[in-house]
Formats: sequence, structure tokens, C-alpha cells
Amino acid sequence: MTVKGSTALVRLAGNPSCEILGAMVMQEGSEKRFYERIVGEPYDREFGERPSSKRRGAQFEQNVFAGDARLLRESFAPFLGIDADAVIVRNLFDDYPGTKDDSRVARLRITREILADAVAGRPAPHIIIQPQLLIPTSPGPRPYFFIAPDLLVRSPTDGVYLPGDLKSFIVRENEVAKGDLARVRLQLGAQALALMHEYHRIDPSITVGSNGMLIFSRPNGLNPHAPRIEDLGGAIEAIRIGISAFLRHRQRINELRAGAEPFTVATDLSPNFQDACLTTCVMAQWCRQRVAGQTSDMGEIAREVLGDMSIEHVIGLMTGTIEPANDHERIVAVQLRELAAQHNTERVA
Amino acid sequence: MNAFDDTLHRVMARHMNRAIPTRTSSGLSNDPDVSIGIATIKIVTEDQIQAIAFGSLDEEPEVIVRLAPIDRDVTDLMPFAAFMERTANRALAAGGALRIWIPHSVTLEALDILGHRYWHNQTAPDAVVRMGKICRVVAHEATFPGQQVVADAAALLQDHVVTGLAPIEEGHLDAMLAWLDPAVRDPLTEARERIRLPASGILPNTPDHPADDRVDRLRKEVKRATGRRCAILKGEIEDILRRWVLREWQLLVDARRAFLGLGLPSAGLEGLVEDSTNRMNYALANGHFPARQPHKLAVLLAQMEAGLEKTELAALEGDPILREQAQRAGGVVHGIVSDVRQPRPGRNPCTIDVDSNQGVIRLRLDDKVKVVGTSVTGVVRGVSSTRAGGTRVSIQITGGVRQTSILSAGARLEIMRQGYGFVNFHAFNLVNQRQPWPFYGEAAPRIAAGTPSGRSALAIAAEARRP
Repeated sequence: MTVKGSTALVRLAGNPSCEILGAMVMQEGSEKRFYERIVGEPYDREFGERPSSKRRGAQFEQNVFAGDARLLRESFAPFLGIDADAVIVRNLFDDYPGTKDDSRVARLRITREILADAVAGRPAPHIIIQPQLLIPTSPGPRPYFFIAPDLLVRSPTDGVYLPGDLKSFIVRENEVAKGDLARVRLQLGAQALALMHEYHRIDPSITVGSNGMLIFSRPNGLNPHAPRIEDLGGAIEAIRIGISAFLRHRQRINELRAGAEPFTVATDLSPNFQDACLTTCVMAQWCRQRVAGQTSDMGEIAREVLGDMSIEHVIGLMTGTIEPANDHERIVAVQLRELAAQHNTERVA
Repeated sequence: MNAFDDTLHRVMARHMNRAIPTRTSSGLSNDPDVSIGIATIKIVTEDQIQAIAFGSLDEEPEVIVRLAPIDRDVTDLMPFAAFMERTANRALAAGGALRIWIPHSVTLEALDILGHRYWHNQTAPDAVVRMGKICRVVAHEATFPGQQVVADAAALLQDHVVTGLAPIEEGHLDAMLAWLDPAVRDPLTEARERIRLPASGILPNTPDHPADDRVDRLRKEVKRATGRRCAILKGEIEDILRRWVLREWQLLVDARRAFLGLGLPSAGLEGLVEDSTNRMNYALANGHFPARQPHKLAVLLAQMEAGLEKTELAALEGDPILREQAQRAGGVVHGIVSDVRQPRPGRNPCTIDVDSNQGVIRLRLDDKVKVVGTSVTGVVRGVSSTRAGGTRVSIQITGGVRQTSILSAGARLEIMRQGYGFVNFHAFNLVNQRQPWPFYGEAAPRIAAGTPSGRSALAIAAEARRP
């Protein structure tokens, strides 16, 4: 996973206590490079998005945006309450394509103009494709995060835009796996927060709802499902926590590094290794070395159940080489001995 | 299993360098005559299957590798379609009894998407459409708790053993297998090394095994190549896909062997087997009809709830370890018969008192219960304290009144809830006929305000109770 844009905020929201993650977000260059500079060895695991994923994502967007976004207009027509042919779409990639900062800034300017028009009651499109937003974190290194929703849709009830994201992975019956939904909701949460920032630049009294739209792909071809409206209250709060964590980490890292690159102070930072790191972070193995032999090495639940002690200590309680220091350890020792009695012989797999 | 027990098993597994069984009975019935295996390799995100290995688990599998899996031409799937048709026919001949082994849930997802794509595809050959329908039937059956058709090897191992890994790592089938292989001396290190390569039905893409990137590049080159070079490129794609789908197959075979090697008896699963067999028999003969109408969805949910309850109770009844855990949580009551009130021996009526010293007891009035390991059933009619500080559970016996060895003072019993597992088809048919507003209406109907009776709701409920 990358540590740029909304993905960085999503990851910080998922693990706000991890200072290593904060350093990765501050560091220029890729996450993989960050790992290699700290560990001194090439990263030996899979890294980055697969070509098939990139291709499908691009094709899905291309298909949905083709013909003046015909499929998108048809999908959103019931929500907007007008005929698909009457839906007005503006694709900002037609004006300034690309992902370089210059293009992003140009699209941000247009997005701001459209939002201002809508607030002022001037004509504005129903759907903005590839708008550009940002969340400021200035002053300091990384003074802002560019946030790029796939689209903004104007609510027919209050005229305020909602963020929307296209997800090219295949979903059956528009029912999304819990894990996937949690991740994309956080992404939408970052977008909603950035949209709030933009609206409040125009008029702080504007109420921006905590909703967003998700459009998933059907199993057949590249056709979209009907948009799903998601409640983002929790996700927005989680992103806020992630941003606060980043500001805190940045301050500490700046104090430590004294002008050097963030990766140079990694060993002085506190990681917060958790199970999910194994599937999302290149630094997971490095961070896990710091809890090797501890209960955390067997997962978060083990740490919660047994507390922060070494596995050797727990085994010592079982074998009797260590005396229990409290009631909790006494219970653990008794239960483990019972378990050992059950499994010591033929029942071991 | 609760978090505490799970963690202690993990510590034990670390200590013994072996996976530790968490059950003494199997949640899966014995393989029926029609038992097959399927392993797949899909394209990430596209979810198109690019290689399938399938066949009997005791033989070398048949393998299909797809050079152009995204193309509309699906004739390369014909051998798999024919195999699925043959399997379905054999299962139908056996009354619906079927077992499909898969390495992990990703394979099931791949089959389900394959089904979604082709079960109504008018341009696909009939055999592929039929394959799509069968895939959907199988994937739908897998959604029922306790179903006995799809054997997900990774999930089965996770349900029956615990390793010294973190739970999230146990999702990797190859890592799990390191803890079940006596030849592996240091399963922790070995398992974590194995995790570098995916075991989730996709090609690896690590620096030392960049198979996914390679196949992607080769497919592009094939489009431009001709003659001998084209054949060489295609050959390389086939070799890569064959190698990795056979690895998935081998994981499946090893996992199945490891699971069966646990030697867990599969008693008490007859009801679940019968439910699965009946559902498969009907669906393979008549087709898959997704529930859309409210009453159909309610039936589906009721079936799932019944399946869940049956599964839990079958596991409890057949497994002393699970009962011991449930006893700590109060779900199973261990006690001694302190009194038997049976005017005519071996006849109804019969009521017994069971005294227990358990700290937690979850049985409540009117709960239907059974005595573990017997045919004695009853209804809880009273729960009170004993003088010694324990709990007395009074049970009206409704079945097995002749079992005097059980129904006698001093007998030690384990009591657990009796399975309800009932789907009220009659009621849901009425719902379909009458279309009541809770199922079909947009809003509640307006009811004219009446005069309150002045009686307490509790009093009305108490009156309605059976004596």
C-alpha cells in the first residue's frame, strides 16, 4: 500500500499510535525505499499494486466515464431524481489530465470554482468527475494531503456535493465484504473531510453531511452496480484521529531528526505492531522483531488476554519454574497445566 | 472457543512446536462416494479464473490453463464444465450427497463469480451455462452454517486446531500445514517463511517468484508474436500456470490429509448431512433461485439460523472439550440428580431436580433441554438455589422416561439446550398469500386508538404461559 494522499490518512486512522507510520508518511519516496534504507536489504516480499488491478481499475473508470459518463448518469439518475439524459456531468480530466501536482492544482482550482458556483446558486454540474480536494496539515513538512475522489455528486435535497468512489473489484449482488467496506469507507471519510474543508473555505456555516457514495463493479464485464450510500460518521472521526496522530508524530520526528531525513530516526521511534500490519505495511516484519518472544507475537488478542509478558514467562508458569506473581498468572498457570495434561500425549496433532 | 482458551492453546502450540487440536470431534461428516477437489488460480481483481485443477482427490488432477481468460471465448472451460456436469449427475444419482474439497474460501469465491458470469449467459455454450448453474448452487449451499457439501480445508483446520501463529497468519494454508507436519522441526520459522508466497489462489509476485508480472507480460507478447515464438511464449504461460495451480492442488491434498489425520470422529452430524443433501438434490435437479421476495428471504434466514443452531449443538454434544468450555460459560450444566418425581416408574409424568455447583448457568424457564449422550429430553420448569449454595434445575421430562439409569437420584448428568432448528414454512406460505405489511408494506398501518385494558402486560404474559 502507498503512503500518499487519502491512503496515508486511511493507514494512520487504522494505527494512529505508530510513529514509524508517521515517519513513512513524512518520508519522500516509496514505502519500499523507506524499508530498504532502514533495514539495509532489499524488500523480499510482494510490493505494490498488481498490473491486473491497475488495468481493471483504469478500464472500469474508462467504461463508466465513456460517452459523457453514460453509465454513471444512468446509475445516479434515480438518486438525482431526474432523467439520465438531463444529468449534467463535468469531467475535470478533460481540462487537466494527469496526476502531476500542476494538474492537481489546476483541477483543485476548477473544483473550488464549481463549489462556489453551486453555493451561490449559479449553474453547477450534477456530477463532477475527477475533482481535486486537499486536507491542510500546515505548517511543517507535508503541509497538505491531496485527496482525489473519483467524483462528486450533488445532493438533490440540499444542493451540497457528496464524495463518491468507484471500486473496480467485483462485488456480487452489491453486497461487499466487511473488511473491504471498512477500508473504502475510511477512504470516503477522508474525501468527506476534504470536501468539508473546501466548503468551509467558502462559508463556514455550510453543513456538509457525513455521507458518501460507493459504486462497485458487477461480475459481468465492467458495468457498475447501483450506487450505495454510506454513512461515514465513524470513518470521518477515525480520519480526524489519524490526522491528529500525524501532527503529533511529525512534531516528535522533527524534534528528533534535526533536519535529517525521517528514516534516520526510525530506531528512536515507537512502532505499534498490530495484526493488520502484516497485510498492509512493509515494515511489519521489522516492527515485529521488537515484540519477538512476547505475547504480541501471537496476535493482539493474546496480548490482551495475557498482558505484555514474554511467552517464555507464560511457559515458565505452566512448568512451574516461575511462581505466579498474581491471581491472573495463577489462573493462567492452572489452565495451562490442565491443557498440558490433555495434550501431552497422543492428542497432539 | 473464547479468547482466553484460544490464547492458551497458542502458548501450548508454541511450547510443543505442533498444532494443538481444539476439538475431539469433527465438524465435517465422512466423505460421500461423490467427492471431488477443485483448486483455482485467478487474476487479481479481474477475478477471472486462469487455471483450474480438478478431479478425484486420490488421483492426479485434470488441469486447464487459460491463455486468454478475459476473452469471451470460453470453450477452454469445456472440460471443467463436463466434469461438473458428470459430478452433478453422480450426486443426483446418490440422492444429492456430494463433497467438494477446496483449499480455501478464495476458491469458492472464484467458483461463485464464475457461476454469476455464465449461469444466464446466452452466448456461452449450454455446457458452460450448466456449469455456471452448478457453481452457483455449490456457492449458495456453502452459505448455510453447518453445510456438509463444501469442505474448505483452511477453514476446517482453523476450526479444529490452533497453532503458535497469530490468528491472522493462520489464514495462510501453507503456514498452517507447517504446524501439522511432524517433519518440520521449527514450525514458527518455517510457517513465516512460507507466508512470503501467497496461498490464496493467485500467482505469486515476489522478487524471487515474479510469476504474475511474467504471465502478464507474456500475454502481451503473445498478441504480437507469431509462429514458433508465439508457441514458445504460450508454452511458458502454460508452464507457469500449471506449476502454481498444482501447488494449490497439493496444498488442498495435504490439508485434507492433515485434517483427516486428526482422526476426529464425525458423530451427530446426520441432521446436517440430511439438510445439505436435500438442498443439493433439489437445486441440482431444479436449478438455483436466489431469494428476492421478503418471505423467501425470511425462509433463507430461518434456514441459516437453524443450521447454525444445529451445528453448534451437534458440536457440543459430540465434543467433551467444547462442552467443558460451554460449561464454564453456563451453556452446559453438569450436575447430579437430587430428586426424581415419577409416580409410575418408566412412565410419564416425570420431573427431576438436578443440583449443580456451576458458577454460571444459562438455562432459563421453558428452555427445551436434553441430557447429553442419551435420548432423554425435557423442559426446564424451575431454577432455584440449593442450601449448599448451588443451583437446582427442575426439568419436566418429555422424552426417554424409561431410561431409569439416568432418571435416578445420584446420577451424574450433563444438560444442554435441545436443538430447535425449525423453519416454519407454513407460516411463510401464509405470509406470501396475505402479504402483511411487516414483510411487504412501506409503512405501518394506522391503528385506531383503543381503550387500554388497565392490566399489566406481565400479567397477560403470565396467564398465557403453560402451567
